[in-house]
Amino acid sequence: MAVAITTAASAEARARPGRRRLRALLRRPTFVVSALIVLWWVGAAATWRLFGLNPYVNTGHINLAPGWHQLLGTDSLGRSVFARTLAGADTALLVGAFGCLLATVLGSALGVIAGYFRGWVDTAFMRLFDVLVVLPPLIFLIVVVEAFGASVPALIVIIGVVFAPGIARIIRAAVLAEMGKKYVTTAKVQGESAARIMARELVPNVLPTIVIQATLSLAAAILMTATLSFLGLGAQPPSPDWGLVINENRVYLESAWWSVVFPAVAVGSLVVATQLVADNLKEVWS
Amino acid sequence: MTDAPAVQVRGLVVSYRGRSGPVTAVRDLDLTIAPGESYGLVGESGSGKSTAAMTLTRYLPPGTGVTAAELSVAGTGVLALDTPALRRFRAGALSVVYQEPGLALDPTMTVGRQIEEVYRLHGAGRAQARARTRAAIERVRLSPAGQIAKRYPHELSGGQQQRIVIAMALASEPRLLILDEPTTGLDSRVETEIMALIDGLRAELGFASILISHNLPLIAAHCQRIGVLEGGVLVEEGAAADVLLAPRHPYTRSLIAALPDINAVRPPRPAADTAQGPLVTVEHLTKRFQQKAALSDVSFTIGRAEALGLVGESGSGKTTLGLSLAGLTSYDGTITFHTEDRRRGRRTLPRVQVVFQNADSSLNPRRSVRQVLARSIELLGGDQTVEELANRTGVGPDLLAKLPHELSGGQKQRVAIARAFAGPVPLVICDEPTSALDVSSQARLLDLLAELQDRTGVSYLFISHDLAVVRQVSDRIGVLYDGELVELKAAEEIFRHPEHPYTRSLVDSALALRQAQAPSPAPAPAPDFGGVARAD
Amino acid sequence: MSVLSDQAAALAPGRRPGLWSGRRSRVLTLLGRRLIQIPVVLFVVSILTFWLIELVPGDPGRNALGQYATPAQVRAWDVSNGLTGPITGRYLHWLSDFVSGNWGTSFVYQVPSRPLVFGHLVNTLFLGLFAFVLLVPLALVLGSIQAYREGGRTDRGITIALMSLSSVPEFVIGVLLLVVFAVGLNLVPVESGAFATGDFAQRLQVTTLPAVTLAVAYLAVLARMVRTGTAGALTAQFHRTAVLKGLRPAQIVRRHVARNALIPTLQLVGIYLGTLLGGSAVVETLFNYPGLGALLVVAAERKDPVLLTDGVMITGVIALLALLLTDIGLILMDPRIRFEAGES
Repeated sequence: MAVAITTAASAEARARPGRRRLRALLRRPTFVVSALIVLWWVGAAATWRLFGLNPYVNTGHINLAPGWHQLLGTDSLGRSVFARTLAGADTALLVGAFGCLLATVLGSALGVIAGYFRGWVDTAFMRLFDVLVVLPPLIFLIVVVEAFGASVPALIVIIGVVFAPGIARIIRAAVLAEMGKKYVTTAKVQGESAARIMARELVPNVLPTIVIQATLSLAAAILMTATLSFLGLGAQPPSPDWGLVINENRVYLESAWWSVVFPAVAVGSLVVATQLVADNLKEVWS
Repeated sequence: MTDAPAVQVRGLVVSYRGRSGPVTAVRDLDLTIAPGESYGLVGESGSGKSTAAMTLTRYLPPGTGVTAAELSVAGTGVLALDTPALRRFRAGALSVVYQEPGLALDPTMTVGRQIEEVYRLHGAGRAQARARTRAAIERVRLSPAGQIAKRYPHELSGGQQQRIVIAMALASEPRLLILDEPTTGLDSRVETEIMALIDGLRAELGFASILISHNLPLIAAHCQRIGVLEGGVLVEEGAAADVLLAPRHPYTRSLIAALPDINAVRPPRPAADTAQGPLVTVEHLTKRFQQKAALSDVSFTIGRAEALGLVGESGSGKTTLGLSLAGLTSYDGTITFHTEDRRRGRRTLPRVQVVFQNADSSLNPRRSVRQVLARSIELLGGDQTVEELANRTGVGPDLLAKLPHELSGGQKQRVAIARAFAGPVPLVICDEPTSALDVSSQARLLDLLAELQDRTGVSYLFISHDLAVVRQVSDRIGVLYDGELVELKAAEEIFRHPEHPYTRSLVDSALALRQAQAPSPAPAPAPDFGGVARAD
Repeated sequence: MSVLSDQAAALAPGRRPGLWSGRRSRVLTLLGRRLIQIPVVLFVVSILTFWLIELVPGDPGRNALGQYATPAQVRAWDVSNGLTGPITGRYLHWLSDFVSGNWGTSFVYQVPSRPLVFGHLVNTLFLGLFAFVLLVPLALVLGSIQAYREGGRTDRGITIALMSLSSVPEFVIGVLLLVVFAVGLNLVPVESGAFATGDFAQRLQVTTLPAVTLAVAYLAVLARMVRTGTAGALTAQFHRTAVLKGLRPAQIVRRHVARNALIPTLQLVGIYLGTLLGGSAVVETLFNYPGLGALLVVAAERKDPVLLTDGVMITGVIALLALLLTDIGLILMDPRIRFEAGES
């Protein structure tokens, strides 16, 4: 009887590891709160136009403090800080999400290939990384953005290319650990093709690492996008992009703190929430 | 006080918090060990033998509950000690020699300083501690002591590391030495040397010892009394010879029955088909790693339906030889298969399959047994269904839907074997297939391998460090030493007339470890490699 | 250049200490090897930078002379500043000038580039070291507290707090600090630029907020590394050996835990040291601090190839030297580590 119960329980555990993990995640308050924050900003980016908010129009009141009339006040050009803060989620999420997706796909492919074949592919890749470590990433990014422009598609490609080596390095390490295991050797001995070993044997076993890296780089990509526009290299005025808004309004910090603080809280909350989602995933998965 | 027993335990119960409620690791244990006595505690993994011994040091994971009517070492009641007293007790009364000496030593400190630390703790001055350390290193027969003391643990071999741990343990002149699987993971020759060293030091210094091991012959050869633990219960206790020759408890009996019998030879089989010539010819096989030769000029053949055994210590090149045959590494020399290529589509089907030592890593953790076997049948061009294959290799039908982490070590290894037999492959290399398993699983797997060979006519290259295991399976046995094939002859011949000194030492230590089991009039002398341990 | 040693190879048993195994000789070997590697890496970096800048659209001559200059004037300016001709020739020309110390004139500031870069570098080093001095002890304390309370409430609390704090963008932390300490409490000026060249006390005062901002950004990861290293050393079998030897807790921490726990941390510290000393573009821009990072941002934005190449090279040198320093530290702490090429 006891045996039968154990088998049934383990069968259930096996059948739905995804659901079990989800349940474990939902029991974590930090995960629930941060996931809600991420969802809020995704919602804001997708729907602010539907509510008739206009982040570009002058309301007629300059540097109005937060109050009943204007929930979060107005900025030095009389635009609604509330509207601008919600609308600012656009670029960050668009560039962050797609840039991170590109980086993950590119980085995982590179990492799996380098880890599986070793040899010169691997060596060339590692040496390149040594050089990239020396280049200050932001300066590198600045030069690249100057060279290729700051349109949204260009930013996505740039974020993807800049983040891919870091992801590749971690995936490669995970693949190397798997390569030491005999199931890979056995697959080779059985005459399995390289492509199939990578796709069927290796990728499923490093998938948790890939997902965790993807979430972590999502946070980093959002941060990087905001930083670029803060430095004046991403979105251009009159865009309500958070980084840009903070940079534009920091000279009014003493007279209109709300025009800086609310976008700052917005970008901070989104990055922190994404990071915490990643961290929770990591803990539940490993 | 000195007349107090080295260990006095009554009614010991140890429990810890498991996933589903408390688990009792040791149940109602009584144990008395006299001063200077050598006591052996045997049991399979999870029997509570290590927990019972570590309770004597009171070093247990947090949350472990210990109760005992009495628990004393050299007259000191261990459970009543406060923190400073416990520290003094650990410093003076007992010492431990651990299973993995490489991990037990601090990697960032020279081994000399790690031993000195103990002398300093007992009040020696700096110069005095250094001199004593040198003497201690000499006492465990490492030389030159001055140079050894300056080395870091990673600069020593496993055997040398264990000698350092022993020197460190004995520096405090303990009344009791706990030996927790001290030779597991070491080569059999090093094992023999280490055990002889400990026996000699006990005779000289007069400490009592508890030897914990899953290896019954080892315990029998080095202990005066034996206790057998099963599921935390001491099921049998007595003089070593009595327990081994006349076991009373069924569990002890099953342990003994499962031992590979050193005298058992594989029953003669219908003569292998010699008319067709050998299956594989290996000529002048040489493999170099950087400057060092892992294999030098090795030549031999494997017959059809023959089982060729290959023994050698770690680093002798036996695994490299297997990898070369499987085509997994480059080499110089020639390996010729006298078979026709079997093709399926554009692909040539593999001629060699390998069963590895570590069953944990040889199965993809994300694929079920059925998926693994089905794909293997496809790849190896087999004409059987998964169910037929599972049935033939003793993989229960209930296991097919399971993932590797739900299987036991023995079950995993069965799946690994089934995978190798998924198609008609002429040669299967077994690389230490049973050394990670306990004796009873080992015996069943060896039977399975023999049966599969009788049925399919496959040839084996059976690689192991354990001569007794190899003998059970093999028709002929080859001995690898430092990359050279120093001897190759019929299995019984190796035992009867070992020629090479290394073969002789292997046979002697195999017999020495099992001599208590089958008492022979003349005990085999301990192999002598020149008194002082070689810098191996 | 393999920064991390191959543990598996380094741990191979039976490795006999030979002529080159003493600490001093291993440090000398490393120095010798880096003496070759560092110029090679810098060479690659310079090519990469030069090529990337070439791709940047824009016309430095037009920028420098303004919109009323004739095309001929712009052309003459380009020629006199070495901006014409094939890229290889210009690169080699630049390289020989750079190596001989003749770094040219910044287009944007119209002053010699070398004193400009070094002046900003000094400010950046001051800020970076200040941040480093705040960061490392704090990370050590927090990380080891967490390790000794592993899995407990304190541990998890510190983790979440640090994680949240460190993921907030630097410019957000900076803004919030400014709101509180400059606008609210009026303790420091909103802009630190004007005071960064004053006496030491004044410098310290204006550098505090930028330094705190930088330190906060790196704190979480470093503290986590300390925690992992310490927890690893505490659960290691050699720790059990030390306890069962009967050593006093202080001796165990000093002799066996500390060194082993710090080894993984040190690798990260080296990378951070390089990053901090190389200048933080964001923090320096936010606080208007005259550092190398902010200078490079201006150089990139206003297309000043001279300043940009020189600045990137100096940042690279600083990062490589910081890594070298760390690797020497690692050799002194971990006898197993070997920096061998091709073992990554």
